[in-house]
Amino acid sequence: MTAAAGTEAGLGNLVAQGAVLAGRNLRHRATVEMAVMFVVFPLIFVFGFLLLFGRLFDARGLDYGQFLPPAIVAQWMFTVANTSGAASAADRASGMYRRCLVMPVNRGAIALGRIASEAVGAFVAVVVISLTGHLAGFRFHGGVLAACGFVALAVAFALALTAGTTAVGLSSGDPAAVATLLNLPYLALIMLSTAFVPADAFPGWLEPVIRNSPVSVVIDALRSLASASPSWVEVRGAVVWVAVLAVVFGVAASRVFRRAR
Amino acid sequence: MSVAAEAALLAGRNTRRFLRSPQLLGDAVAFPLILLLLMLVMFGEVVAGSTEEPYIARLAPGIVLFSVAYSSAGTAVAHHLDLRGGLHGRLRTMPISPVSPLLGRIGGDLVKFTLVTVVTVAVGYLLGFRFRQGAPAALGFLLVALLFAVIFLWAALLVGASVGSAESANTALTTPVTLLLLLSTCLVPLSAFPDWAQPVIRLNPLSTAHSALLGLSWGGPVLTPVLQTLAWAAVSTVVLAPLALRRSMR
Amino acid sequence: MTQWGIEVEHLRKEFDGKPAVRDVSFTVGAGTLLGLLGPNGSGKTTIINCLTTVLTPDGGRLLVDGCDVTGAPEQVRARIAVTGQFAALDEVLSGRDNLMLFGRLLRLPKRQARQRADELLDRFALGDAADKPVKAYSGGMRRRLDLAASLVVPRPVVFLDEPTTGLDPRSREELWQTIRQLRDDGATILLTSQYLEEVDRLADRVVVIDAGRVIAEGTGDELKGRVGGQVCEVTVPEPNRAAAREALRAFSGEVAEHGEHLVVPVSRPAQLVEIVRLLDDRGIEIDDAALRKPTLDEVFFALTGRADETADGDERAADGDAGTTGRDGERPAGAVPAEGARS
Repeated sequence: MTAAAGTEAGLGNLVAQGAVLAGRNLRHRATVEMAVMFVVFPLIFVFGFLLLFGRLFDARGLDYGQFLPPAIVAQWMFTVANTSGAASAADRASGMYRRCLVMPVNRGAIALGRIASEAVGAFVAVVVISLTGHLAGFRFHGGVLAACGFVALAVAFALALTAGTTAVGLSSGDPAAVATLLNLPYLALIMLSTAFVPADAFPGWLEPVIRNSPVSVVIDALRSLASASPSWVEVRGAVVWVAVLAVVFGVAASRVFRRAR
Repeated sequence: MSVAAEAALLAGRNTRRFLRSPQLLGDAVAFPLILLLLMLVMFGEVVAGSTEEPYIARLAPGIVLFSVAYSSAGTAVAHHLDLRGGLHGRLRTMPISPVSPLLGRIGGDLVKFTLVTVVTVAVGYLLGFRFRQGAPAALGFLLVALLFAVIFLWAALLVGASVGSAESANTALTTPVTLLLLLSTCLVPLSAFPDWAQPVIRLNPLSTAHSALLGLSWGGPVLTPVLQTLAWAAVSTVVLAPLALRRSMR
Repeated sequence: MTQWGIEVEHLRKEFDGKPAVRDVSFTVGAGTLLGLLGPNGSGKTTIINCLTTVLTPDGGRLLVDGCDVTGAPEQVRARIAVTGQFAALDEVLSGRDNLMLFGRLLRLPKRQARQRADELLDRFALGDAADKPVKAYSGGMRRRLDLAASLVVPRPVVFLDEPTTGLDPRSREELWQTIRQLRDDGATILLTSQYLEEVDRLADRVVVIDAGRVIAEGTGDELKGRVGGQVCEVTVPEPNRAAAREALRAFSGEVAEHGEHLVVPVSRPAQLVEIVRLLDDRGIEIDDAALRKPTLDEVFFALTGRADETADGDERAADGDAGTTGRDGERPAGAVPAEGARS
């Protein structure tokens, strides 16, 4: 019997094996169910909330059709991250993860595969939601560059969250429990933010919390990037938050990654 | 054994299982409470200006209905696992009526829904929710909530018997239920919706049941919305129940 | 090529202060098959995990095909094929796509990966199910695909961790055939098992471990000699059992009781007659007495001087796993047996 010539080291392996794993992760998402979810969910949320609150906020002088889609984008970024966390847990439960560990597969390729597939998923989601939002009156008023910034910020946010959910998923190994566990902080964070309701509509004592929640900061930056006059201060704040989340969650994920079997 | 005794036995099994699982219990009880608090701080101020009743009077019944409808996903998953796990197969080889397992599932869930309703209302009380129509109306409140539950139970059993995985049983119900919540009078009054949408919103089962619950707690029309809810339950039982039974027996 | 395919010297591994493997040493000759026999929880899987670079040992020296497991794990991973206790496959993908996925991960060009996948599907009799998703596979098919997946690129050293647990006899026989063929092709194989029969049929040498220690080592025949080769099982109805036990104790020190059966090791078939006569002399009525081969339980009883208390529960746990993989068309989702266990 012949031993394989190469080992797992090297950039070539990292990229090639990462691409194979990313392709495999994406094939898991390429189901009818997922396609329906990707189209139906944005429609449900954009038009559902618009019907629900459009009139109430119009009365307060807020263009809800422009206000809402960035929130749906942020919400969907959470969904991308949570789904990814559950997928990592499933890979650990099924033994796929362990099989990769005993194969000459570059350790970084496993992480790269996740990052790449989630980036693609997040990108598609942002595009779909922006198009859906367009039907509801949402527009990029700030030009092409700001629109690109909108997409980039959203995807970066999804990836930072994914690092966190990957840490949870890999350390648990129970996809159902992970999905439930991640749902709670997601709901609380998205509802206690400026996603659906502006900060001043919350009770006064809660307003500072709402305004400074990282989720609000990111959503407000997304809104700013879609507006006629993007505020770079707001965008910078969001970039800092995303960077902090990415570092904290990234460290946690790599620690779990080194221990999980 | 009579069908009733068999169903009661199986309902007891389902209830015990529910009460012994901290996760199931937490999902069913904690989820509505968190939702209640979050929605109150989120929407309270926005909606309050447009209605005469305080927001909690509208929201508490709305959350009761939503959690009942939402937890039908749990019913679908449990039913799916029963069918897959072979429990159903074993029960079918025993000398018991073929409808008993389904009735047992429904019975166990009605206990769960009663618990959810009582806990949500109790926390609502702390936040200002009141039964202003007296004790019989409060009992009626619970009965309407359970009548409403029947609509989604049949749907849940049908979904649980039809889908290929526990995961899709879950999404197949939570998605439409969330949409139904948004497009109902549970969160905002009918007048907040665009005029063209109002006739549809009004007929949403969550809206009809919500009007009935609102009438039985804060005050307002009761008979018409109760009859409408009854009609929904009847339609669901006539259309979905036979399908659910047939799929489960396969 | 070195003389040894696998060398284990003084391997130690503990989890949270609890020793799982205590000072285990053995070697596997290149191109031979070693059976690692032991009950669940005896440390078999931990040893495999250390050898396959999944776990870092707390002490000892491990060489696989001459490469140091702790010093050069990348070299080791490029030389081994691993099939674990649970089929580590992608449930969503088809059998062919799984094999192609692993081929591509091992940097085979696409065409070659496809060609290799087809070869393996053919060799493992999975051609008919090649394009079905793995979740539709039966337990035996899964195990075969799992083994195929670990052999996408041929490797000099193969680890098989309880490859037949939960399989029906026919699938087991088929898998044994494949394993023999692998060895005939020149691979060094380390196989763990709970079944004496399995190691007996496949292994050149056997290492028996219990509670993280090697308790016996040798060829299958040598081991059977130590157990006594055969046992006599006497079936005694209740009022007489205590008396029968007492009588048998006079005959041999090691009397095991399993329900209404009393089991005594024998060295010669003629001892069956002696036992029956002894009981008859004392007026103890029996239902049945027969010679049979020792079970794993009895091997442990003979080797450790105590009954293997865990074997029963483990057998059941293994059967639980069998339920998820052993029955045709059953999907092995963790959720289903867990549900069953709770109710």
